[in-house]
Amino acid sequence: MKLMSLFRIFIPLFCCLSNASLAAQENAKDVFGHYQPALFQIRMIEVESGNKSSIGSGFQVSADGLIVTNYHVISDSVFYPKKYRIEYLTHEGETGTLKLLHIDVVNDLALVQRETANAPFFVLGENLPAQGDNIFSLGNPHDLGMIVVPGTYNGLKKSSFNQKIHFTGSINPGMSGGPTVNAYGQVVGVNVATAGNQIGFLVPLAPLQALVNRAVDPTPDDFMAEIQRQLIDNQQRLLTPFVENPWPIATLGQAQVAGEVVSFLPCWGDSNANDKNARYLTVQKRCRLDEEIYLHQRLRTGTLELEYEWLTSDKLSSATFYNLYEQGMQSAGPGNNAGKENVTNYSCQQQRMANSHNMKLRFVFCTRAYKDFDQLYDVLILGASYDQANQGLISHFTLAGVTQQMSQAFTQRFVEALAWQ
Amino acid sequence: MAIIVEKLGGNNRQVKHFRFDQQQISIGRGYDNDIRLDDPYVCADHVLIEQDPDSGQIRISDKQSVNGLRVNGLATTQSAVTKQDVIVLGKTRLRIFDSAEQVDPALRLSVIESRLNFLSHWRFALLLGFVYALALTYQTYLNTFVEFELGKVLPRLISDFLILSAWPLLFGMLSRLQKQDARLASQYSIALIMVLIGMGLSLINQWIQFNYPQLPAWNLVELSVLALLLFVLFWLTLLIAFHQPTYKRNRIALGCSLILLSCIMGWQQIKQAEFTPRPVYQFILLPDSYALDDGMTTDQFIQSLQGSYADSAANRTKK
Repeated sequence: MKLMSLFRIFIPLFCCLSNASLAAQENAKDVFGHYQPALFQIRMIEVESGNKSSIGSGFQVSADGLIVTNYHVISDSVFYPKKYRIEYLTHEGETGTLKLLHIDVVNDLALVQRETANAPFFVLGENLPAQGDNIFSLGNPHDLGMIVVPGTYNGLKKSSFNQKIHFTGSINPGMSGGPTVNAYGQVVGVNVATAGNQIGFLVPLAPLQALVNRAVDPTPDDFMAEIQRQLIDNQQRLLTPFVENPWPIATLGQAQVAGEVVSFLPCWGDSNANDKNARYLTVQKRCRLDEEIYLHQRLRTGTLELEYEWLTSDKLSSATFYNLYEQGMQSAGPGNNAGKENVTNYSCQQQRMANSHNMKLRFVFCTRAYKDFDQLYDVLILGASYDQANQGLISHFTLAGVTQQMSQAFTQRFVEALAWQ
Repeated sequence: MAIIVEKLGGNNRQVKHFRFDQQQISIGRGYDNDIRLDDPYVCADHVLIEQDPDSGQIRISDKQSVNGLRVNGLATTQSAVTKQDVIVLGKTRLRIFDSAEQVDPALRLSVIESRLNFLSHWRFALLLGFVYALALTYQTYLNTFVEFELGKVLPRLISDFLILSAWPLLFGMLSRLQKQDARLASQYSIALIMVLIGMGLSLINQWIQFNYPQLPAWNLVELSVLALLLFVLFWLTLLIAFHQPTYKRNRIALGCSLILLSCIMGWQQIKQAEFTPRPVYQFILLPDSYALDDGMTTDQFIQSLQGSYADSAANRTKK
C-alpha cells in the first residue's frame, strides 16, 4: 500500500520537474547570452612563473569596472602581495590586471576593479527571491569555460550565524565568486561553497550590497589590519551572547552543562549505552558552529566548539575509573586548520579549581597566537571534575581567532556553567 | 734481579707473565727460545734480551728478523727498554722490565661494597623480582577497562623482564670479559631496586603535579632527580662489575649519566622548537582524596590564564 501511494506522489512530481527544467533552460540561455561580457575568470598569477596558480569567477557590478568575487579566490594576493597578482580573463580571451579595493573575509567577498568604461554589468537585485524560485548560477567550473547552472532558491540556511542562501544545484570548484541571478538577470547571491549532492551555498544580497557600497571608501592601507578588524568585529557578534549572561543549563547524565545559548550552534549527542561489553557508561554532547572563516589555504578561523562527556562506572574500581578518565583527557586538538607560518605552538597551563557550584575541576588551558594578527588567539580548554569517585565530567571548548579579553570572559561563563545535579 | 716479560692484550692489559733469573733470554717462534710466540709474523729467532748485571738495565736487540722490532711504534734494531715501553714483534705486544719495579699500592675495598653483600643473594633478587611483577600486574589491572584476565598480563610481564634483563646481563658479560665474576644476582638486584624506586618516584611526581600543576622549574627538578637516579645506577653497577679506583668509577658514572641527561634535554628542546598544530601536555587526574585543597576560585583561575596568553604572544616574534 505504501509503495503504491509513493508512486502516486512521484509521478506528478516528475512531470513538474521536467516542465520546470524546460522553462529554466530557456531562461538560462537568455541570461547567459546577455551577461556573458560581464562575467570573468579571476586568476591568481604567480609573479615568478607568470602562470596562473588558482582560478575563480567574478562579475562586474558597475560601468566603471568594479568586479565582485570571493575573498578565497584572491586570498593569496592579500597574504603574499609580492608573490601573486590578480588578473581577469574575459569570455573573448582578453586579460588585464585587477586592483584589490575591499575585502569582507567573514562573508568571503572581495571587490576588485579593472580599468574600463561603459562596459556591461550586472544589476544587484532589490530583494531575495521567494522559496522555490528558479535562479541561475554562473561561473567557470574546473577551467572548462563559462557555464550556467539552473537551480532553486531554498531560502536562507537554517540556524546559521553568518547567513548563506541555500541553493539546490551544483556549484563546482572554479565557480566560486560567480553570480547567481534571478530570472530577470539581477544578482541575488554569490557562489561560495558546496556541500555536495546538489546543495550549494551563496552569499546573500545584504553583505554584497554593503561591499559594493564601500567602493567609495578609500582602499585600506594594510589589508592584514583590515582582516584583524573584521575578525574582531565578527567574534564580538558571535561571542557577546555567550559573555553577556550566565548560560542556561541542560543536564547530561548526573551533570549539568551548558544548554542552548544561541540558536546557531547545533549540538549532537551520543553514548555507549548499547555496548554490552563496556564496563562504563559515557554520554556525550558536542556542539559545533558549522561554518568557518577562510583566511587562506592553510589558515581557517572563526570556529567554535563546545563539548561535554559524562562518564560513570559501577563496575570499575575508583582507581581504575580515574585511569580511564585520565586517558580521555590526553588528546585535545584545535577546531581549525592553521600552519606553521600563521600560528605559534600552543602554550598550555594546568590548574586545579572549584567553581561557585562547588564542582572541583582540573583544567588544561592552551592558547596559540596568530603571527600576522597581534590581537588574535586560538584558545582551547579541557577540564575534568575530580570530586566524585565513580563519575566524571569532561568539558571542552575551542575558539578560533578571538581576543584575550573575549575568550577569558567566555572561559569564565564556561567554567561557571558546570555543576552536579 | 730478574727479567719480567709480560705479553699484552689489545688494551695493554697483561695477558701472560714470565719471569727469568738469567741475564739473557731469547724470544721467537722457534722451539729453542726461552719464550716461544705462536705468531706467524714472528721469526724463529726474533729478538735477544740482555740485562746488565750491574745497572740492571735491559736492552733488546733484533736478530735480523723479517718484520723487525718496534719500540713504542718506532722501528729499531737495538734499544734500552723500561716498564713504560711497549714492544711489538710481528703482531705480538710485550712489556719487558726489571723485577725490581714497584707495583701500585693495593686498592682499598669500598665500604659500600661490603654493605651491599645482601644484594648478592639470589633469594633477595627473586624477592625483588616478585615485587616488581606484582607492581606491574597491579598497574595493568588499574589500566584494564574490560574484564581483567591474569593470563593476558603474562606476555607483558615476560617482555618487561626481558627488557630489564638487558642491563644486568650486559654488565655481567662485560665483567666476565674482564676475567671477573659476573655476579648476576647483585646486578639483577640493583637493576630491580632502581626500577622500583623509579616507579615510586613517578607516583610521587604525579601526586605533586596533580596538586601543584604550575610549579616553576619543575621540569628541572624532574631532570635532576632522573640524573641522580642514573648516576646511582651506573655507580653501583660499575662497583659490582669491575675492579677500579673510586675516582675512576665516579668519573665514568657521572659522565654516562650526564650524557644520557643531555640527550633527554636535547630531545626536549628539539620537540619544543618543532611546530605542532596540537597542544602538548600531560594531563594528570587523581580522585579528590589525593587533593590537598580545593585549588583556586573561578576568578583566580581566569586571572591565572593571562600567563598562557603572554607566553604565546611572546612566541609570535620567535622564529
